[in-house]
Amino acid sequence: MTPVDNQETRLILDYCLGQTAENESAQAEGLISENPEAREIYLKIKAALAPLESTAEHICPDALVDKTVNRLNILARASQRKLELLIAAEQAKTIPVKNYFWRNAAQAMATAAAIIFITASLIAPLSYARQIYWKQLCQMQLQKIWQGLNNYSNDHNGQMPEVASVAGQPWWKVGYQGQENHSNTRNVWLLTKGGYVNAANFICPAKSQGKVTQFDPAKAKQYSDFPARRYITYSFRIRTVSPHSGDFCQQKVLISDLNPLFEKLPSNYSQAFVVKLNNTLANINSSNHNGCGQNILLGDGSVNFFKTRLVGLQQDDIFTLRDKNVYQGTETPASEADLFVAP
Amino acid sequence: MPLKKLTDAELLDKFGDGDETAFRELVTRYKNSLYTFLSNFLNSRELVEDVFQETFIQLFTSRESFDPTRPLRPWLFTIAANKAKDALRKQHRTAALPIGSLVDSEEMSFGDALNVLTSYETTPYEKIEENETATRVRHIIETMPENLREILILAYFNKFSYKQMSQILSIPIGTVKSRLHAAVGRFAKEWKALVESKELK
Repeated sequence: MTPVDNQETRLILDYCLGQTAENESAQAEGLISENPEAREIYLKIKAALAPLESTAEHICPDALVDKTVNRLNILARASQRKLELLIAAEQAKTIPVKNYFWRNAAQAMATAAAIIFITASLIAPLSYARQIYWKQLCQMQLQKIWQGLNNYSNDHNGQMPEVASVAGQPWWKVGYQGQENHSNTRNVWLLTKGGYVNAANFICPAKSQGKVTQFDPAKAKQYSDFPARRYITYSFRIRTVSPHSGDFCQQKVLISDLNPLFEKLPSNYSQAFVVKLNNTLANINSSNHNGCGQNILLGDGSVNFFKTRLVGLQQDDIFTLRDKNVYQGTETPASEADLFVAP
Repeated sequence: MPLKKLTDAELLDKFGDGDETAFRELVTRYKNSLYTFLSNFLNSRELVEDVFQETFIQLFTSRESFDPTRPLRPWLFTIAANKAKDALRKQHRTAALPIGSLVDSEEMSFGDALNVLTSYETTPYEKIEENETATRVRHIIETMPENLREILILAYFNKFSYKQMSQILSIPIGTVKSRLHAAVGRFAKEWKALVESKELK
């Protein structure tokens, strides 16, 4: 008797779950009838799933069908009525025909002035509306990343996307494709590489002004990080190396709009990276949303727009480390309570 | 032609024109499978009824985006699954997901699931009163994590294929497979624990 291998066991399980095509079913049936071990596995799986058979199909109440059909009728009539009203209104409209629009120079100038006035008065509100739209879009993207994180975790026995790294390694070398695990964006790159989150979701729409920036998806499988900084305009939590510090952390920050301290990263990875904290860097918001604030994905999956960099009960600055004025791109927080996102 | 003989696409076309009989036929065609899915997935009858109606309303309002060359059933269940998840989220909005739940996932590997599934020596539910079984099964399903519950219901009760579930839930087929294996493994584990607790008594 040939022992049943892993693939055959999967086939039997899929067969029990009704997830096999016709030819696979035939294969599974053949295996079950010929191999006693396969038959035993089959019977045990069937026995384990048997209680599920006890839940019969739920019968939809007629009243619910009636209620649904009534609502659909009302909706259809409302749309039909709206359409009829629109057509009637359009047909009733009188369209004045002007034969001499450019009657004289004065009228032309008045028209031009009116156009300039209207355009000028519309630019500001339109720009404002666009900012609001991008802010919301950015929040939706962060939620998609959260969803991707959950799916990844579910598929990997609860593990978060993580590449092995050594404490003290630089975390700022975004786009570095070498063997060493430099840059903390390599962890989230696994989400894109594995198809859990579309790469476009890592670019804040406000930062890119709504422009779509794409790299060759065919090459994505070969990359070990986002190919360049412009493809990832968020900052990610840097974890402490001493997680059992005992500090109470009320809110965990997972991802935020770009940290203003690390906006400009050297393109030459062999160069040293030093950022000195000054008064401006210590106070400005992320540039993603014109300095008005930043969207932050918190550990509970919620995304909020914070008008300042201070988060949680302790009002911790997420863009800086406590008691640190010079950054070389290898720093980690001393405790869980010191929230820090980079680069 | 009698409505019963129309294809889903033809029916949806009439449905889109506001034909009341088409509404009724379409709702009737899918009422029990959709109601079964929602009843297993949601925890209150009120929510089930709301989401049931909202699903068909959404089907009507987004009818223009439906590709008539594709089957309607997965599309209808995509709408229903999304609506049901939204409804649950609204219901639990105040209860935040702790960060630990990301790390301490409830899922198990294929090997673990298989170990549980093949660890039965007897038909396990014979030990429990027949009329009690359905209630207990429902309770186990209700208390499963949302992502496992939905996949188990779609696969086991609604008989969707891996490919269709991948489309409905917008997740890769590999994820669908591993999640379904984890779901049946978890169900079997909890059922076994229940049976054993009965034996002890």
